[in-house]
Amino acid sequence: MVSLRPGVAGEARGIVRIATRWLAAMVFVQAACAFGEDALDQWLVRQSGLRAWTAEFKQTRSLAVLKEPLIASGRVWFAEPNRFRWELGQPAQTLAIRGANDLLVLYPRLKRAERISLRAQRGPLREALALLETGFPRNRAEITERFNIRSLTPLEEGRWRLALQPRSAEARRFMESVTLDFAVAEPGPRSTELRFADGTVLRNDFTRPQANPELAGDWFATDIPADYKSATIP
Amino acid sequence: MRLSWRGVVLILLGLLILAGLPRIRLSTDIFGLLPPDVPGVRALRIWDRHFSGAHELTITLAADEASEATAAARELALALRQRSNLVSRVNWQPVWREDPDHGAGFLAWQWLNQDPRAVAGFERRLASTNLSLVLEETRSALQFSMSPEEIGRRAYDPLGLAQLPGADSRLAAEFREGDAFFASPEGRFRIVQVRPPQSLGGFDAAGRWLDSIRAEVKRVRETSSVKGAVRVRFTGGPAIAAETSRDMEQDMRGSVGGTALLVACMFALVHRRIVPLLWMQALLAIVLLLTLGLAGWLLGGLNVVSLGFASILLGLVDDYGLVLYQEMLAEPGESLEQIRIAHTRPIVASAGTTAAAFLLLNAAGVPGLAQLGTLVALGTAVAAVVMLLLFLQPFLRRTRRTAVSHSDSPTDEVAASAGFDTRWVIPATVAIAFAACAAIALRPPQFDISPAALRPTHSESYAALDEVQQELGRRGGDTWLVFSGATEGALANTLRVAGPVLQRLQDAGRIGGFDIPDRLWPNPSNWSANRDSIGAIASRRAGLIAALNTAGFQGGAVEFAGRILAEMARLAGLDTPPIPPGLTGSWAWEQVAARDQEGVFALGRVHGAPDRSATQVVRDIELAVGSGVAAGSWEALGPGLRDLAGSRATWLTLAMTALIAAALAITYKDVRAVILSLAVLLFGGLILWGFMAVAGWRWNLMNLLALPLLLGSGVDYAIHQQTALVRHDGDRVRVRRGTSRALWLGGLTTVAGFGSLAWSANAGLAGLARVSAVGIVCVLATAQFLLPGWWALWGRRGPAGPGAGISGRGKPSRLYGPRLWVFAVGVARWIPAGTLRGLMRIGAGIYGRLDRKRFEIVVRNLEPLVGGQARGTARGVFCKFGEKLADLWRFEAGLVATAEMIDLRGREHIEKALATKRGVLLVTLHLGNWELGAVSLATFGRRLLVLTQAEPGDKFTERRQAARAVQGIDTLVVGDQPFAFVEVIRRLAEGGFVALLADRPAPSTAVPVNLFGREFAGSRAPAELARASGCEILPVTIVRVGPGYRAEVLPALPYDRRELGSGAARARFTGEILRAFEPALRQHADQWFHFVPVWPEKPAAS
Repeated sequence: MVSLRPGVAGEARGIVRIATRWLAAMVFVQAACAFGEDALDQWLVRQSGLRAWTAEFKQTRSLAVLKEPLIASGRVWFAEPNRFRWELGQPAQTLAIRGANDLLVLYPRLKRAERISLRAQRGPLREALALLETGFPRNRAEITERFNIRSLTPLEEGRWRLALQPRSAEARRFMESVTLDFAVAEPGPRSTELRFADGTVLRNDFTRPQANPELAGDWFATDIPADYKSATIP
Repeated sequence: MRLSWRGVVLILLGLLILAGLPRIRLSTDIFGLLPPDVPGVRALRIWDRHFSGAHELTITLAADEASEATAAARELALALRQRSNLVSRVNWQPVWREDPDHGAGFLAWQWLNQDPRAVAGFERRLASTNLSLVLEETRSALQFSMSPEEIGRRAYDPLGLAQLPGADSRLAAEFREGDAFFASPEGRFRIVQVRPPQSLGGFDAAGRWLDSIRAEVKRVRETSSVKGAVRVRFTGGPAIAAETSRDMEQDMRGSVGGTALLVACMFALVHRRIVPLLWMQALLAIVLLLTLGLAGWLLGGLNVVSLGFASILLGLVDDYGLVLYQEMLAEPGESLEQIRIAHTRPIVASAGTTAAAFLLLNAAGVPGLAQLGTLVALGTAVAAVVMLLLFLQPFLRRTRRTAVSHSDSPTDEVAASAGFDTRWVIPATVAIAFAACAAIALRPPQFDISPAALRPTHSESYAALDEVQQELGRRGGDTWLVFSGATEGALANTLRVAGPVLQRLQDAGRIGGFDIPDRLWPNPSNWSANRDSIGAIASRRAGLIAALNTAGFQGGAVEFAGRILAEMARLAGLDTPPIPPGLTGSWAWEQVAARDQEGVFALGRVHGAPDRSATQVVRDIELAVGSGVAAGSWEALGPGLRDLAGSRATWLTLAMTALIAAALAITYKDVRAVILSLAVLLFGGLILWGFMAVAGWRWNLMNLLALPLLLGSGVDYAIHQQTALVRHDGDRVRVRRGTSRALWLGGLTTVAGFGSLAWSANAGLAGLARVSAVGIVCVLATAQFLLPGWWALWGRRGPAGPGAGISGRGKPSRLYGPRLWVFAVGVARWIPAGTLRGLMRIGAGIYGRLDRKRFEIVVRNLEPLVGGQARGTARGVFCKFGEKLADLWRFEAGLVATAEMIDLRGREHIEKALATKRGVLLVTLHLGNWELGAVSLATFGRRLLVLTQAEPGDKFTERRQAARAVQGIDTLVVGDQPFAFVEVIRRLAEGGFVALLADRPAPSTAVPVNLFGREFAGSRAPAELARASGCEILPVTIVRVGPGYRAEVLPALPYDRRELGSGAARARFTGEILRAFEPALRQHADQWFHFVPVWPEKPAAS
């Protein structure tokens, strides 16, 4: 048996140790990824079973031009396949209601209404709609249609963070990234965070979610009250 | 080689004209081709020149995805900006997005330019007491707004410094949003605007610059993500100019080269001579260059349509060279100078007519066509001068051909002469007319009202421009408003007046809405009124910034406010408003304002009302707003063009028809000839229309104006053909071998000239050329195939055209009368013989040139004698007749010593005849100076009796009779009186000496004989006298030879007196007498002095 010189043996052991650790790390990462993908699929399965969803939320708007973020609370309702109603402020300062073909935005305090056609929209307005819809994907295709999945990382207590990037270059000029936190065991998002190109960050933290609540009557009606001044954006 | 002073002057003049070549500029202004009085043309022309990106290259990018188009536009713009030697500015997105100043200067400028009431409101809003409320509202909007646009705007403008009044207008929204200028609504189509580093000047520079840009674009596409997926095209002013110049070059090369080649081929086919062919081509090139040089001096800029002049010109003016060359071959007896002089008048007249017809295009009111007409007219005049001066020069020292080609000799055609077969004429006319009418009825040609007829046929740049206007919604039924004024201030007043007027139109529902740049236009009074208020706001800059900080704002919001307030402070210090400052301001200004040597322009838009046509909208606006505004839209342009083209073409066609009818009436003095000529034009036009119906061609603004051109060009064929028919009395063979052949050659070269432009890059020019070429073929074919039949059936009787005039001029010249004769005899006493002879030679020569009809009579008289040399011989006839008159006057004045002057030969024949004591009849012709010959014969000791006809004029006969009597000569005037011969017979029976002329008898004594193979009216008097008296018949000639005369007496002509009892024998003997003169006539044809027709019109069978 040929004994190795002490220096050489030390180097060999070091290499083996590094290789072992690297291998272990790779196995762990692969396992985590596999686990994460699995977690996303599980959450999407829950999402697909969701007929309706509601939650309270706290919206934080961190604008680059403001020293302090603007915080407002509100409530959101979602119903399949793509209807939603956002109420921002208490009492509601802004209502955003998605109809079949248009989005109605009401400003009760200003008695102002904007009806935005959802056909042939592009640019910032289209991305704003994506912003409102983000958090309610029903399958992987709905995510990948508009976003590239950048990462899926585990948080504590069965929660995961899905980092997305808009697919189109035009959208990326407006919105750099979207982050979606979800819990595998719960339908609906825990939080969403949209980071804009000018440094503005818009974050929604959802609390007290309810899956498949009974939504009464014309919760998503898009009629404009008679005393509102309305504008239509084609 | 020594040049004459005339040559030097001509060369200098030519060089001076050629110096105009560098002055030529190509104009690609499509609207410059249109009639300026059509509603909308002026507005669209200014829009096209200043507001359609005419000074910038527009690169269009189309992709399947908006993101691809955007990325490509960005990459391309960034790459091009690196090439600062190649571009001065590249825009691919709203300028303010890349403006380092963020448009702060432009915003401050707009506040100073605002209505002072709005500024007062602005001042109140920013008052210290209201400031916290404003900022709180802004924070609330930032917290609760769902509009990204509002969040973005308010975040960076918490004080509302950028919230200008009128910001809700469509124009303002477009400026603010900006994408509408650069991208389609879906974003899959984008444009990149590229401005060259300096003005490109000529179209060559535009082409080179465009090539550099293309190369750069190609490089970017190969090295970046823009590869392949994006379709790239080029348009805008530089691209259109480059493309037009390339098309122009191809047109010039193709059509001019093609026409020149075709003319050369035809020339080679007919004449088979290389030197004249090359020389003619060289002269045609010189004509083109000189015409272009003249155009450079006179016109300066050439439009794309007028460039087609070259081919038309070549097709038209090669005829001048062809005529000169043909005459040079046909008249070997004439000097080249004589040929040149002889054809100066016809060529100048022809050039004048053609030039007049093309100049009439100036009355069409279509600038593009007017210039084409002027160029062709100029070129025609230049060609006439060049061809007349230079074409014959190379042949001056060459040996002239003496043989006349077979086909050039009319005498050879006698045997083959035949009339036109008229049996098929009516059926053919009816059948063709029916077919044409049926085609027109079944498929009536449409009128294309679009201005596309003036554009390039297959143009990448125009296709791209259409795509830009389609994708970016720059047509969209809107009407452009172009306000104009001498200065910005004057225009501001117009805008101020126009606003309320347009508002009233909108309120009345006559327009759907409007945008005018009144707020963007420098307004000195507003500026002056706002300076204090804005200055006051700007002076509170520190306080406002502090308020922003207190309200929690930072960074960009504070910086932006600081910039605007600083700009407000700067601009408030200016007394008068400048144009909008900064990158954004200057860009916005360029979108709505322009200036050139004609003044200042501002662009506005009117949106159409649902139930109002574009034409009505344009008319309403121009009526309501009045002077200082022009409105126009693509939709309104078509109907205007259609109406104008229809009326102008009708007017021009009628004017040209009237002009032609008047010219024909003056020329022919015969209604039937005029009607036949007009019928040719009408029938040719009918066939053309039918052809267009079958081919599916459409009338448009340009090709409709081919009609007057066809009238001007086509009438020549009818005139020439009818002239030939009359001259040859409908002889099919002679007409076809002569005039018809020339007409085919000339007509086909004209067709080649027009036809070579049928594939021109310019659709209007191509259409005009196609219709003109086909029209000329139709008219030419009608003149060639149908007109002879029509003429034979209806027009033959009594035409009095140029040809008919030849046979109609049977009277002697008015100059031959007693007063002038006596005067001349008197003058002859005082002028030396040589001088008088020389003067008379020159005078008679000039007379022959001036009285062309008389000259043509002499030519026709000589043709049977000398064939193709008749024309040259005819000139000699006039000159020698002048000499003869001089001698005759001197003789009657008693100044001529006859014996010394005349060399009498054949004396022995006279002596022999006298010895028979049967009387001697000396027969002579109007050959040489027969009067002097009579005197020389008087030396035989017998008194000579000369038989003559009555002279024209009062007592002229008696005067001549007395003059002869002085010389010992008796005169007997026989005229038409048969009994006059009784005296003659008596004289002969007594062994007397009688002389008579046998070649121009009175009708009562004429008998048809064969002379030179043709029927000739000879005098039967010698045969009658021979039968009656049994006298000796001696032919005698007295001709000028050298300085004197030679009288030659021929042997007596034998005859059997008994046989002469029959008329046929007398006629035969008359022929023998006359044929005895044939050798002398051939030898001295230039002394056969007949100035009235001596040959019957129809040649006799041999």
